[in-house]
Amino acid sequence: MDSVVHAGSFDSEAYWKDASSSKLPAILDEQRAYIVMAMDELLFPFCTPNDGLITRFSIDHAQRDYLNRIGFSFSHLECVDVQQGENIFHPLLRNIHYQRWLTRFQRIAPYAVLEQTTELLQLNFFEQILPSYDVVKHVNSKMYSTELSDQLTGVRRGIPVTNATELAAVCGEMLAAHGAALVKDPFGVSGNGNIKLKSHHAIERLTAYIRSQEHRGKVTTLVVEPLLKVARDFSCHFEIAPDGSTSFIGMQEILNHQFVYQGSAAMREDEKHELERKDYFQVMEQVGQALNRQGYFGPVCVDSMQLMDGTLIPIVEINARKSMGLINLYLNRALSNRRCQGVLSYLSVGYYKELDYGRFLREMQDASLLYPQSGGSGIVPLSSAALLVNQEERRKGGFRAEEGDHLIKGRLYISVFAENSEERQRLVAVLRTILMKLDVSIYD
Amino acid sequence: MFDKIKEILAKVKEDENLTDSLQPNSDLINEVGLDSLQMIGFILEVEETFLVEIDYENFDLKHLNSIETFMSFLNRLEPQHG
Repeated sequence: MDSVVHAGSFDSEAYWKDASSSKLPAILDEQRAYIVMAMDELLFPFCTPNDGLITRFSIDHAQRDYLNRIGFSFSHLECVDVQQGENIFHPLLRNIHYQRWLTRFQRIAPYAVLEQTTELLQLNFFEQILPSYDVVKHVNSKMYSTELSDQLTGVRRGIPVTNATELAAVCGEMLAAHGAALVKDPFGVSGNGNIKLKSHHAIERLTAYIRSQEHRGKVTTLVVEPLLKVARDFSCHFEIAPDGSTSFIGMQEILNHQFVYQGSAAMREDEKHELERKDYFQVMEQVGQALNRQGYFGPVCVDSMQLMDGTLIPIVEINARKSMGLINLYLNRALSNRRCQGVLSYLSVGYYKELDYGRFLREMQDASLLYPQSGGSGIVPLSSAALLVNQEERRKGGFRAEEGDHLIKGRLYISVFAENSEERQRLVAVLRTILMKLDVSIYD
Repeated sequence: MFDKIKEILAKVKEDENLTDSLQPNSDLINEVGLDSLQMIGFILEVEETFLVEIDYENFDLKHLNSIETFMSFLNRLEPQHG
């Protein structure tokens, strides 16, 4: 079997977005940006013992040891010289030491194909093909998923707009018809890159903001959708081979709150049967064929939803890349048993005192919380870097530490293996007490 | 102003009980838990309520360290007419 190197930037959408495009308003949170950069450590479930994982920050040695113990062993490369605005592939293109390390692998499995991923292939390190960067960028745009959704379902839900005047008109219509409009950036990600407008004032403010960018030469492409009453979000995961054949991987319930991703869980069998009866999987097959006709092959995650009135919306968004749901599917493939399924989730945390990751794992073990406990239950902490990155960056002076602003933000990604939701809640409650004991606050 | 801001936060967070628990020193990001999307929603509501304009691009997160800090920031802004 080929040995594979896994690498990626979880903010791929930011690299697909043209610098000449106008942006939706956003407030810069430097610590949050570092946490997103540190999410590449979450690619470890894709690794087999012959594989390699490249991450932007170090993996705490206690986490490496723990992952080894539960069956995830891999070679690791920490890319220490990723510059501002660069993704993980940039340093691989210029650093001869990294390139030497890459020669031990036959293939690269990126989280998403970026411009520099294809450049890396041109250096002949790997015996494989990848879809072209332009194709990947095109099919990941919400303009494309909106157009494909219209074609395949015959229902026009999202309306693309290409300037501030159109934006104001379409939002005004949505507001009158549905009470609110949702404006999406074609390359936005969860919680960032979409905005909910509920008043004429909000529409005017957004329009003025977009218009001022157009005056500076920016080009507008946005999608406006009605704000719908969503009962549940879920995703379909499949892989398209270069020859166009599609293999189904699995279904995931997406735990969302106000458009922000909160976690992934396996979908129940009866719910899959219900989707089958509603011809959902036929639409997914058509999505696969359409993507392949565009020239795409590789992993796909289609986000879908069901409304309160029962209406099924099969295509909300197409992610032609790996995804959190796929990570959860792989974790479950490796660690679940008949009794205990894993649910992937995270806790947003903050702390003032230095956090010792080794001690954190020991506390979890002492509290009979660290996976695996009896029957295959327990919590798997998934990334040390997403929890510690801002502590490390502050130590290195990597970002502004303003006076009076010493709170270190982190995100604790976890997979909770339990027989049922009551037991899962109990395990998370114990985890919370451990974090509190370590002077870590949890922000829900 | 404090009560109005609490009402806006409760609306943005879709949590009516929030008005009872918020104090002038409550941290808007870490205690209230405003994420990036909610922050923009909050700012849009604040602009509409207090007739001010906030510069998103140069907005410093430290203004959200507490409701009190945010109120002093608002008081320094020029009121907009309209």
